[in-house]
Amino acid sequence: MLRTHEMELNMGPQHPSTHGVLRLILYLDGETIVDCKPVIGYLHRGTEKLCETRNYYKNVPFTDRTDYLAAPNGNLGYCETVEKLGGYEVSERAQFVRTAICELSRMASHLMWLGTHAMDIGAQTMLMWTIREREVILDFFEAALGDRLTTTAFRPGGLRRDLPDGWIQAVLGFCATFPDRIDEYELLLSKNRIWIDRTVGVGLISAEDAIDMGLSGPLLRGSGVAYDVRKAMPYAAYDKVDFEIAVSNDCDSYGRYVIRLKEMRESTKIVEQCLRELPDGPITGKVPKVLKIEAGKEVYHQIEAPRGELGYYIVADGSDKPYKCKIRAPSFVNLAAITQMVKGLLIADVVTVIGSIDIVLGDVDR
Amino acid sequence: MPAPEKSWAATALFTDLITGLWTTLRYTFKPNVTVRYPLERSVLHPNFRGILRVDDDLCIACFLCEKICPDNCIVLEGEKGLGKGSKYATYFYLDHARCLFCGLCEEVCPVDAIYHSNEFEGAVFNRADLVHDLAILHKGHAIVHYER
Repeated sequence: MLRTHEMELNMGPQHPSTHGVLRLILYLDGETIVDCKPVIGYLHRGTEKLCETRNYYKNVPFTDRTDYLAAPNGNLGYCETVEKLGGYEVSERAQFVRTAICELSRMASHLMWLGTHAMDIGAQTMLMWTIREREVILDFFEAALGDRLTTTAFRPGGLRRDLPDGWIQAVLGFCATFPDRIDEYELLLSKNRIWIDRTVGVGLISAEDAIDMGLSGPLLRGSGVAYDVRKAMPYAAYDKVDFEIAVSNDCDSYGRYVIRLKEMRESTKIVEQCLRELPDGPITGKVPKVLKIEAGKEVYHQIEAPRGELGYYIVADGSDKPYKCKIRAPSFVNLAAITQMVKGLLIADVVTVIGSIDIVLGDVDR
Repeated sequence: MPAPEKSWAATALFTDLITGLWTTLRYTFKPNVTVRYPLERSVLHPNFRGILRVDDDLCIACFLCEKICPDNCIVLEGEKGLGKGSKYATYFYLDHARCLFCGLCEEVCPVDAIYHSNEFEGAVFNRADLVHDLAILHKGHAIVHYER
């Protein structure tokens, strides 16, 4: 007797388009997806536990390695939490430089996303173009922070070193040409019929579901919710700069693509404003050399990382080490939505959905 | 912003694809942006954190770098020399296999004895070769500049 039955298919953990070591168990009816279970933990390094064994200064390098495509954002989240916990002040110059560097890293992260997402869908050229601009940004990081990817950019209290000579002019020069480059990406993709067919209506999630699941970042704004931590709870120097939140009501992959392009344009504006109005002054506030935060204090502080709300929850116990350091990773929370987003789609669309969520497995597993 | 509407004429004339192809074609005649690595090298900024070096004439064996290192890759021992305040390192081992290249040791060093060089070609065949002693840390290990 002929009958059909559900088939189980493993996608990953070594699948190139899962952007790391993500394993998805797909339950298929023919080529249509009935259910999907993400299996994570292949890149687990125990960052949260490691943070309990090192003192507050030593933990900064570990925060690079959670979301390694936007390391300065991780550094900023951790450093601001420690500053809030201990009540340390940060100099105004450091706030502006931090904002500019974090926005540059948002641009670098979104460029990497655009290139790899387009390559997953089949537009191979995009990666070469986006990597070209990302390379320029990484060169800026190399000059100002010392490293290209794992930057260890800031320290509790301010910056590690002042900006090198000529750096501001070079970045402003880049910011002047960058919007033209984004226009070029749009020429290649925005009206391309293959791109539209592959992304429009794929990976739908409604605003209610997005809020219920706790999604954040472009995924939430792509469902029409205008929530951005930079506006809702300004940190660093975001309350002193002028920018817009990109929102789209499409709820699909195309909407998230539009949002990320818009965010790159807004980031360019923020960087320009920060560097033009950069105040003089010391790069660090008054911070003791050994940070000892009294017992019983605990702080949750969140920032807007490129992938969404990145939160650090640190509990102090009176020693120079955190008692507990919980990282609320945006990729981890956003990944939970994949089950709902891929239901009813074809196998090839799973790749689009993974790409549009924009996960970094280092961030998911920590 | 909703996805752009596809007009009948645009679909028939492939304008969307032709725009993309034309944009790509223009780049064919522009100069390369890539660096052909083994043949030519890009100039690194002096701030770049490469392989660690130690100037043992300056080192006062204060153990700050050993204390700040998040991965405990520095082990050193000091001895008091002649004269006042002339402590010096008798041995200094740095395991580059454990190093995070975070630059905290460079930052805390009061006499700038430990510093990051601009060298990045540190690949070796034997893991034990990554543990550098004071002699190697002082003059830098034999860097193989890859050439074709």
